Amino acid sequence: MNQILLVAKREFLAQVKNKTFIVMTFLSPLIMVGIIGIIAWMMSANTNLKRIAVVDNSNEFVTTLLSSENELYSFYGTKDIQGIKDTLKDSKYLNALLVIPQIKNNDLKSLEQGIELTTNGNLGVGFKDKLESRLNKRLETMKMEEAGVSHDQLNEMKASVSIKTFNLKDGSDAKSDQADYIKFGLAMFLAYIIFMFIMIYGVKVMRSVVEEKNNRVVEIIISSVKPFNLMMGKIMGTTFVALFQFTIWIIMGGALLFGASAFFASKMDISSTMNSDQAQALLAQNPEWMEKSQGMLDTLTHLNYPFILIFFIIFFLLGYLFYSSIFAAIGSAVDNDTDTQQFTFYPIFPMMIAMYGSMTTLDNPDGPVAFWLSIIPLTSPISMVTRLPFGVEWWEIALSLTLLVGTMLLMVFLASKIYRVGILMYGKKPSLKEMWKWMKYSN
Amino acid sequence: MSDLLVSKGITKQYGNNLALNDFDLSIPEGSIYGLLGPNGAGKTTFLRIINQITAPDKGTVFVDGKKLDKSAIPMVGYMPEERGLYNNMKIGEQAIYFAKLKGLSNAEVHKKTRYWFEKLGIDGWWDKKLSELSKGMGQKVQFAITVLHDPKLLIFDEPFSGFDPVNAQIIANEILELSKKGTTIIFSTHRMESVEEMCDHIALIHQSNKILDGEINQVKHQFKTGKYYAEIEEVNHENWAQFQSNFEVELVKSDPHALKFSITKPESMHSNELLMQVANLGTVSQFKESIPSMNEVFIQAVKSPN
Repeated sequence: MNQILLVAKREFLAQVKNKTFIVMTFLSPLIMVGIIGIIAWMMSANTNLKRIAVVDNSNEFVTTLLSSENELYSFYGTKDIQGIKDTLKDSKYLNALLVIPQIKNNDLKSLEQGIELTTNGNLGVGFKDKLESRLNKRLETMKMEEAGVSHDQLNEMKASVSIKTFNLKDGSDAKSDQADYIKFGLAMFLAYIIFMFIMIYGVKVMRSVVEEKNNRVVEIIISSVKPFNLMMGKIMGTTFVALFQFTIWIIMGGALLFGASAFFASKMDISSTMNSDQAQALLAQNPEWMEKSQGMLDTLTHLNYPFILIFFIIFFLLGYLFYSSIFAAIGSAVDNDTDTQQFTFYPIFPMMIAMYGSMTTLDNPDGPVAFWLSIIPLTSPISMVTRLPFGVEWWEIALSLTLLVGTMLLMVFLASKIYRVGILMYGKKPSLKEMWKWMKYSN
Repeated sequence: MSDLLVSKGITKQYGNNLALNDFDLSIPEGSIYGLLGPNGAGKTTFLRIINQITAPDKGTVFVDGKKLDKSAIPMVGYMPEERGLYNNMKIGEQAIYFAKLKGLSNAEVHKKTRYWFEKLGIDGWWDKKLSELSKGMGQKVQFAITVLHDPKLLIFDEPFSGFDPVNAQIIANEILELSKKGTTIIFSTHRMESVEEMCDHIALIHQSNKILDGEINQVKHQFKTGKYYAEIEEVNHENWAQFQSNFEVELVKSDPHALKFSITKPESMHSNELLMQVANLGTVSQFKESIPSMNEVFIQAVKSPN
């Protein structure tokens, strides 16, 4: 044990003192923020102001087509149509012409079919849909009024169904349909963390093994340390590196968030107070919003965090041990980084299946795919975690854990056998068949 | 002299490849023991077994009278053929790390590491990384790491390969000094001439089997061919013609003033008697028994069925 700690300590210090590590630890959150910023900026930059000329012969849509930040409607008379069309042809300024026909004999049907939009380019699918739904709404109101339904009556008639779900197995509180989305988001987030962690740090373990082999230092070490202890020390040291890096990121993230909110709060001191008043007024006007946000809050506060967190950590550590021992075995079997690529496919493959398979969890968290993925040890560290926020039966967790612990121990054992032979083999890239033979060598 | 290391019936197989076959060996305490044989004979496998890097399929190894186990690790210092150091670690820290892995306490580690770094003249390089060191410096660090935990048994696999002559000499002197202090040394090499002078015991290994072992002088004695080498100046040519017809002579070199040749001594004749005969040929400047080199012994031993 003492030796494992010594190896782990060296591994930790060597990796943490590495310049790349220092740069990556402090730069990558900034890079992430930068990338998110750029994406957000590109999204907003891609929506430009659209200028639409409207000829409304029915005189019914002036209030429907209100100009906004991204759309500018200007109204013209019938006689201007030809002129506008000519301008539109090669205008960079005007984007489209909307012509709404006159209502003849109160026949709204002719109106429905008669609206024309002339463009000089692509307005985007979203814009046409939006326009149609606005016109539809106005037409519906007009039809209702024609049928003798008053505005108030109309408002009363509007139906808005929101099914409240009660899960008897999961506490009896009512939950909004937002709950599932929140849980799914949380599930995918946790699964992604595990996936990334195993990938990044598993590969680090592998690199470090290859490095020791390349430096020819490994035989000197194993004349004092059992190969198994060396392997476990490396995995442990790398785990500490990961935790260390995560801690720094969490602290940095917190500081960034705090700094950013302080910055924006000071910038928008006046408007933000006004906004919150407005927001409250808005919420009061729209009881559904209230309900939705209340539902989200309920879901977030009612999630069984200790349960999720404890099993997240357990599955996470077991999965990490399982996969990083595979990575260590790969590192021991090859001579250089280039040769590792062929073999890293094997551990990545089941993890990818777990990641993508778990997307079906949203449809049915207790369905057969979700169930089996969360039981089979290769995929369970990722897939079980995606099911945790939805609640999982105890026997399923027990079965999954038992299988995972068993396979993990077996994998560490087999990996250490490959490792033991592999680290002393130089000069050739072994085949899987050869590695299979190594497992059967007596120590 | 008791034996520090005894191996009995060691057999080791890798797949279908027999690396060591029923291998017996006794290494006397305080000896410098040469494990000689061509590449692939099984030397490194044996060393790995002593270092508990691999375990034998059959057989036992005793160190200091005890069956090989974890307690033997601090007693052994091993410099493998494939040796190296970490690139991205200060050499002082590396030395401390390796010493701690051998089980040295914190206080001892620093004292011993400093001692060896000073002795080898590399103490100014403590904070340097391997990439900043010359190759010779690196070799000294390597040696320091092997010996700094005061092992009773020092094992060198292909000891001087890759060393330049100056460093090889420095290291050889250090090894001899350690030997004088009672450390048992094992040299394993295929370049037999490189360690021949330093060893007092040897074992020859060929194709997974020990073919011969013992004290080096006895081994050589066993393989003496009864040949003598002589150099004569101011040659008496009449006697020389007579001499050539009486003895089996192999001329090595002849010029007007000197003769260099080897003679096979007839078994019944004493070497002093032979010398008298040679003395008749002129002025004897050299007369010595031809002792076979380890290379020749090896070739002989491999040829003969036993």
